Amino acid sequence: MNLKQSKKLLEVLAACYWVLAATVYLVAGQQFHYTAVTSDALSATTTVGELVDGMTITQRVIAPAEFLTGFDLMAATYGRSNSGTLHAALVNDAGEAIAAQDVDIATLPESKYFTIPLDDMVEVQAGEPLTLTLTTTGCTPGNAVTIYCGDTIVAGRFDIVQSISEADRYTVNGVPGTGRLCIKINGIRVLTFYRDYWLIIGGAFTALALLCLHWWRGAKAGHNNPLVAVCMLFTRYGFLIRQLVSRDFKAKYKRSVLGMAWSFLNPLLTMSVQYVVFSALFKSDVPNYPVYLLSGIVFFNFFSEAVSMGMTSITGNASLIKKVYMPKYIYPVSRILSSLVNFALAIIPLLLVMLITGTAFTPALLLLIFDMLCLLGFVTGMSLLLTTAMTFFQDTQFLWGVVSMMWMYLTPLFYPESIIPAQFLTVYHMNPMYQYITFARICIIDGVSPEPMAYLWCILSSLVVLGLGILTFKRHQDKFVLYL
Amino acid sequence: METMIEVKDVSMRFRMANDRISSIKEYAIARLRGKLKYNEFEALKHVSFDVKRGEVMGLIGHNGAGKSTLLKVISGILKPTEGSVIVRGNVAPMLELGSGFDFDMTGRENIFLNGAILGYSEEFLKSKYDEIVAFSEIGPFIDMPLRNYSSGMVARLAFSVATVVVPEVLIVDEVLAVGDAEFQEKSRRRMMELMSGGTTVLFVSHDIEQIREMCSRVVWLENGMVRKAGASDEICHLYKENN
Repeated sequence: MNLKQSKKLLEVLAACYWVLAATVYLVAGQQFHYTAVTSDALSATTTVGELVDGMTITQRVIAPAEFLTGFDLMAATYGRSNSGTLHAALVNDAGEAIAAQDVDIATLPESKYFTIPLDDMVEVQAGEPLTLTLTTTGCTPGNAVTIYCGDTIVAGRFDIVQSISEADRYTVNGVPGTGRLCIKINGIRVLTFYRDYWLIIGGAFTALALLCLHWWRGAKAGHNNPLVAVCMLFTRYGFLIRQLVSRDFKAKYKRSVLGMAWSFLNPLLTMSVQYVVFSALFKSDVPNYPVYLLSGIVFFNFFSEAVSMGMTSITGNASLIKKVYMPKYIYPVSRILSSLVNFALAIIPLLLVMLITGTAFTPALLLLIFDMLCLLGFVTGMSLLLTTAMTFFQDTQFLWGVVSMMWMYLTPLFYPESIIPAQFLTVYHMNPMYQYITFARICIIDGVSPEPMAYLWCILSSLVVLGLGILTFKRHQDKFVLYL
Repeated sequence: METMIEVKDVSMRFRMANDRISSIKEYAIARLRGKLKYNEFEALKHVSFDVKRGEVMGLIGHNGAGKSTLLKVISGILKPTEGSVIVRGNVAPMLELGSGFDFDMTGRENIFLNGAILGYSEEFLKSKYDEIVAFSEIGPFIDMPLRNYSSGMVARLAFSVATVVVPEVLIVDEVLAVGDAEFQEKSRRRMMELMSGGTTVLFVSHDIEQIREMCSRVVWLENGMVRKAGASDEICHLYKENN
């Protein structure tokens, strides 16, 4: 191994690490300081009746976080335009007024949650019970709104009746009603994460640096280790890998008229078809549906293409493996890199559709680098696992065909996440592809950084699968040639 | 003198399942029935020898004696079950010509692809590119896809790429003479040049006369074991008598 070249490479990698860490810190900014939380509401089934002057409605609520920013409320206008003012007041159990906010009734939409921000953020105790009081001025029968209430939650396609204690029900002039008001309290939670950010980044860097130093010593003594493998990949085998990638690429589009253009036409056409088919079903639930669709398709396609290419990398190169010596990992790595080139090309139509739909280009797009790196690690791990399995059992590719289809349906590509029944959500969120795709969509569509937890999930799932893949591959690679 | 190839007590065993199992179902059934038996086949048994710098070492033996397996072990393609192999310096194993040729790519692209697979650096290939094309006598066809080549042209191109390098250790499975009579003569000369230019060579052939002519020492393999090793004339003589 060329030590000088490798040293340079390590320096470049270290610089990339710090640049990425700084980018994430700068772009993510507020998302790392605070996280927005909202209390849950029941589903709207009925109303409390016209809210006119002299009527007082109260509802017990729980503060979802230590800072309250406002509340969401679902009103019914009876299909007419009303006027007047709605007074909302929050009082704690000690009887102290915490916040008060007036709302122009004319602004309330029909049967939709409407966010009413507090003029000033107030500090409370998270989990503290509060009483919300609603009164009006200038409202008479025929010129008033009403508030939705309910006593069920939706679980899948069913409504489940909740038992609500008397204290939790709303009251009208002191008389308890049948359910709870459709009101969500918004708050923000202060995260301690940002204070520890550089500590975590620095700690991880020190750990990595120590590991590299350990490997460096090993490499000097002539041992083989991941550091040597990575350095060789860039130095000695760089030329070979470039040749293999360009071969894969040429082989893919040989004798096709449009050639490389297919790399971005393909996702674009898939998106168009799915847009036509599903827009009637899901469009209203998903803001910016075309970008939602295309981002899902592009990310998932990279995953499924890279894994299936990587899976056949050993069996497909049998004639080479039996006749020429080169490190076995070259084969899956070159296949994954050629999929990565495709992925990069598929990003172009995504940017195009973002332009057309008027999606804002925000600095949050830089965070996609982190997301893509995690996805790359995950894909590499999966490929290494499957190509090992594939060498010993040819069934793997058929099994993978079914599994990848299932995986596609389990990931929200063309449908909104909200159609998944609440009780399955915990399991549903464990899908790493869900994590990577949701991460990307938050950056692209919402233009903000995901929560710190999303970063943690992405990096953990990526590292675990990559580690498993490397270990499995390493353990069995000497036997591959005997099974080809 | 410096030892370039050191083969120390190398054994190579293959496990041959009673029926080659390649599906999970078959594996599970065989395992459950307790029928997962393997027949062991020992292709190499405790083979030891070494090759010194500049030496041309011949390897002879019948079909199935383990010659090709031994070459693969030395090239690093197979990992020995027991023992170890140490090879010093850069090795050019010529077990097959044109590894990785892609018939949809042009001759030029294939020179770089095949060269990269053989471990050449980019600078080296660029500097030797003209020489490769000239030697192969492909001419203007070099920018055509390989599928339009005659088989002789493919073989000539492959030979030209493989022999452009002057390695420290050369491992050859049969002398590669390809193409028509004229090119065969040319390629034989190139091989001789390569093998006599002070390079360390490990050379397998069935042509005993060629071995006697080329090699200084010979290892005679039989049933995976070293039957005899020693000076070329002596071993070749013995080998001939036994056949």
